[in-house]
Amino acid sequence: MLRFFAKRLLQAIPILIGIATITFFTAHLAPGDPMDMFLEQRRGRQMEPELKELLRQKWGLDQPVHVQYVKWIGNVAQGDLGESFRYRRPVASLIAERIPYTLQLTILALLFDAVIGIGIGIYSAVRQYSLVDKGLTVTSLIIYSIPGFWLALMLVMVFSVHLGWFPTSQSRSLDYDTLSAWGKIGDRLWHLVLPVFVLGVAQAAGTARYMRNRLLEVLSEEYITAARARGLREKTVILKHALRNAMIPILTIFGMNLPFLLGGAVLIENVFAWPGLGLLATEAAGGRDYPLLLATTMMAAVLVILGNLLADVTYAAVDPRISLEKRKPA
Amino acid sequence: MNRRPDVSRPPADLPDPSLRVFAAMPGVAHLLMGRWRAGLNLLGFTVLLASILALRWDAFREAFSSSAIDDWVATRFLLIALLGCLVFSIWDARRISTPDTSAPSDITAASAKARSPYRVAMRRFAENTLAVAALYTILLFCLVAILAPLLAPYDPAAIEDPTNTRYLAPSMAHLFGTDEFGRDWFSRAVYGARVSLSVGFLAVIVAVTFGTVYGSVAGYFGGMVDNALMRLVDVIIAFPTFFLMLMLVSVFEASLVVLVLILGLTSWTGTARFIRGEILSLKEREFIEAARAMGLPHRIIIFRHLIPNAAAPVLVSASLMVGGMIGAEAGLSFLGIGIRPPTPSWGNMIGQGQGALLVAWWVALSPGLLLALTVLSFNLLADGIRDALDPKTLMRKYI
Repeated sequence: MLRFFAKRLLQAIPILIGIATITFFTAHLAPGDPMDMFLEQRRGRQMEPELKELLRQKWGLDQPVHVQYVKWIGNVAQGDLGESFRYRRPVASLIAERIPYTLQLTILALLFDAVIGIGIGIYSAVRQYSLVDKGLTVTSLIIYSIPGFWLALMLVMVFSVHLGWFPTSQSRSLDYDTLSAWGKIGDRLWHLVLPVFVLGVAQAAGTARYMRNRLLEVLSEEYITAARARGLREKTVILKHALRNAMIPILTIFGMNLPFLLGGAVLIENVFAWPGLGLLATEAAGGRDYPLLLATTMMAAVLVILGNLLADVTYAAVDPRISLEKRKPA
Repeated sequence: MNRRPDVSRPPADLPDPSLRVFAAMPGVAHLLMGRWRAGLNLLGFTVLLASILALRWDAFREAFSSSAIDDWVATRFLLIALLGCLVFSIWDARRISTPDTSAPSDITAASAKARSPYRVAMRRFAENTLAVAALYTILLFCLVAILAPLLAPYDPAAIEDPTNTRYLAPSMAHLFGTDEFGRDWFSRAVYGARVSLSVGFLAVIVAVTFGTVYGSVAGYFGGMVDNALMRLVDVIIAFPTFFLMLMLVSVFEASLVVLVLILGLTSWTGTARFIRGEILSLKEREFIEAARAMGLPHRIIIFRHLIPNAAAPVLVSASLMVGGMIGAEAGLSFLGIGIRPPTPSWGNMIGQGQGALLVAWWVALSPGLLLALTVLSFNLLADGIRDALDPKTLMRKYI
């Protein structure tokens, strides 16, 4: 197991280098060089040409592109992602502050996705073509099609503004510091309800559709007929024989859902002023804070790779048919 | 469900020659001859266009003589479409009422034609009520987008008297209400349809074209080329697409064209992977071997022989992608970095609604509903196409 994990980790390294490369060349393909971008931040201030040249040298911008590239890769490998134009702080520490918030949101949404999606999928498959199945299928397609950020706004309008059940935004109340330990946890969860629901529900709709089809496929297999012929109860057939086999590919689906969850989190974090990676990226994009923007994008990609790694490892652990040693690289 | 194939129907004629007078109206002839679907489509479309012309006559006259390009397109489109309905209706009615002599009279040949995969798929699609409804919705929205200058009751950018017209609730005068500047929200939504639909379609065209070429080159040449190209795909897939779009849109000043390119060039990886897989299996087949033996250049083999054979499933994924692209554009515009005001897009309209949530619920509501309906329609359409093309269910039902 450990060897498999190490192997997959090694395979991820070229992809990580690729991610850093793409981000680097995006910045260099951009019209204007980083110097101009930096100056644009301080519009209206004159800067002497000598000073400009000095800064250029300090940042290594006077060197040829390939030298800059090697240097950038070296810096990234050491965790030095540059300094934010706006915050005047190392980007790495800014990101480190925000990542826990994004993880809270996405992990809870993934849980929601799994529980609700799989549950509804099983129910629909077992009662195929019933009224409830048809209703759930149509509903999940509708929910899947509704843009999450708009759904979030509508829910805020109904449940926060008109009914006052949930907070409209932020990750904690103003009086958070005065609360007891349990009160703090409760307050956090209370603020998480709407964002997690919106983020998870669209994915859950997709998962339900997939789960339903997958389970129906498995239920038409011969070993299910055999199990029924042996006189096993329908409940046993479905939960013990069909479900186990239907569940395995679902894990990959969660791995594949991760980029969409993170991407969706950008918009949801904006609606709820949730201080995560997505909000940071949007602020950086709006304020043309390039070092910060490039680094957040890179971090999001790294999170996806780690997530997929986790999904792969779990997959291998759950499915005995996959020999750990012989898996080909994804 | 199992209607007889269209081709085997005998030529029809008008039940009473005296009805010919009415048959000049598009669709009526078809209805009289019992071709319900074609008749209702033609009649409905003609009535729709004619009523736009009649109800918005003043707007039409003004737009007709205007020099603005979108006015020109809208008015000419309306006229040509009306004329087209008339001509097509008469031509098609004549075709139906005269016995087809050119086609082979042999009944097996006719039924073979009716069972061609394309015909069967069309028929299966037509039986899928939801998918057909989705197709009509999309066509209606496209029509709205093209005819926007004729349909919008107000200038979408006009800020006339904000103190009296700001945040008016929906009414007959302002179907979707007004915003903080007193702009008519319905007019803006109509123009927003243009941006959303055109960005969606164009971005998908960019993505599918690029992905198809990329994937077929990788699959066809294989080996080192394939390896290098697909490693790049692995890297791009690792990025959460929305983050990548955010970064690119911010770095390159986002005009409409740049936005289309960015959306397209961040979303081609799925198509590329799929096409590569298809090409890998196709290129082992005999007809490709024959093409190679004939000494055809790679370019011809890829574009003439390989890609057309892998095209159908790409169509499904393309129609699925349109919904996603429209959503992505809306998301970026919502954040204020995609399509920027004063150009209306459903995304930036919802963004404006976020600020007005406490005082004017309708500002965020209507563009979001339109957006959701559009994305839903494209998803249903994609489902319908996929089901219609799926050979597994196809065999069972028709052959």
